[in-house]
Amino acid sequence: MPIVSFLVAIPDCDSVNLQIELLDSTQYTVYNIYPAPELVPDTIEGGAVALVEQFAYNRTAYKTDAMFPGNIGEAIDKGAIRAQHVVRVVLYPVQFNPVKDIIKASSIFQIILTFSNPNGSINKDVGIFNEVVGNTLINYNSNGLNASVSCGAGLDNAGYWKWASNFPNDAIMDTCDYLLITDEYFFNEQAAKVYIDSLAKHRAEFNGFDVVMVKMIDIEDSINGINNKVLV
Amino acid sequence: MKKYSLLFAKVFLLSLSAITQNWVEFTASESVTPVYNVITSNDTLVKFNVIIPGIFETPIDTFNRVSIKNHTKMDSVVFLKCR
Repeated sequence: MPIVSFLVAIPDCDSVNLQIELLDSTQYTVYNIYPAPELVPDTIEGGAVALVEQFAYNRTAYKTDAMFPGNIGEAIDKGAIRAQHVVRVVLYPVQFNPVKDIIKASSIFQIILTFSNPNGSINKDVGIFNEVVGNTLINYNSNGLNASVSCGAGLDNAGYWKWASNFPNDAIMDTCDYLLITDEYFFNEQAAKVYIDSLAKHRAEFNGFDVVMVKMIDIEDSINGINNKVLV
Repeated sequence: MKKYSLLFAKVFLLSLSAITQNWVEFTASESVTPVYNVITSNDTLVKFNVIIPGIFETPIDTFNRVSIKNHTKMDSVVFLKCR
């Protein structure tokens, strides 16, 4: 069953209230929607293992006299991209009743989002991620800033770049616009370190970013966590 | 020989129909992908419209597989992982 989803910029808030009004829909008869296949590991040409589709039929689901899914949309995955709060609005334009063999096709939706205890503005500056966020959210006004843009900082107003190895309060205490995390090999091996330093220097001087570089081993030594994903 | 030719043609047409993707139009539009239009976006309210022009339908045996261009499906790995 198809899904249409959009990421929407929202202000910092306790919760999001979603209203969906259906402005137009049609019903089609004699439709039997193909069941969602199971993905099973299979050895493909060359010996690699890949997930392949395998036909699967849920008899109980196909004997249920009700529309699936039961709603036409929802708001999920409330989160943030840096300072920008976001929510994902998911729409289900096709609903299927397997007993009656009909589908309801919803074609025009009007969506209204309101917020419980909103705080601050709806669009937050996300630095070099402006363009990324502007292209990802349907209602974010990007200022055009991205990692390829010189912020006009130049050498007159360059950021700093430094290595950090201590993380009091489990955090980088310096101002940090741009974080580089590397294996200690690239710190100890001078030939490699030159390139990392060079990248950091470029970001500081070209973009005006404050750049902090850290070694993974220092993160592991300083911060509690069960795996690298949690540590980082 | 004529009998075999007819049989071959019939099988060929049946196999073609089995993999044909049909456009099912919900509403007249120049696009085949959903279109959104942000009406209001401020610190207290966001309002937008979404138009779904239609779906692509592929008959498989007695079933119909439906999809929307540039959008995902409920059984996609990405969507399942996000849930």
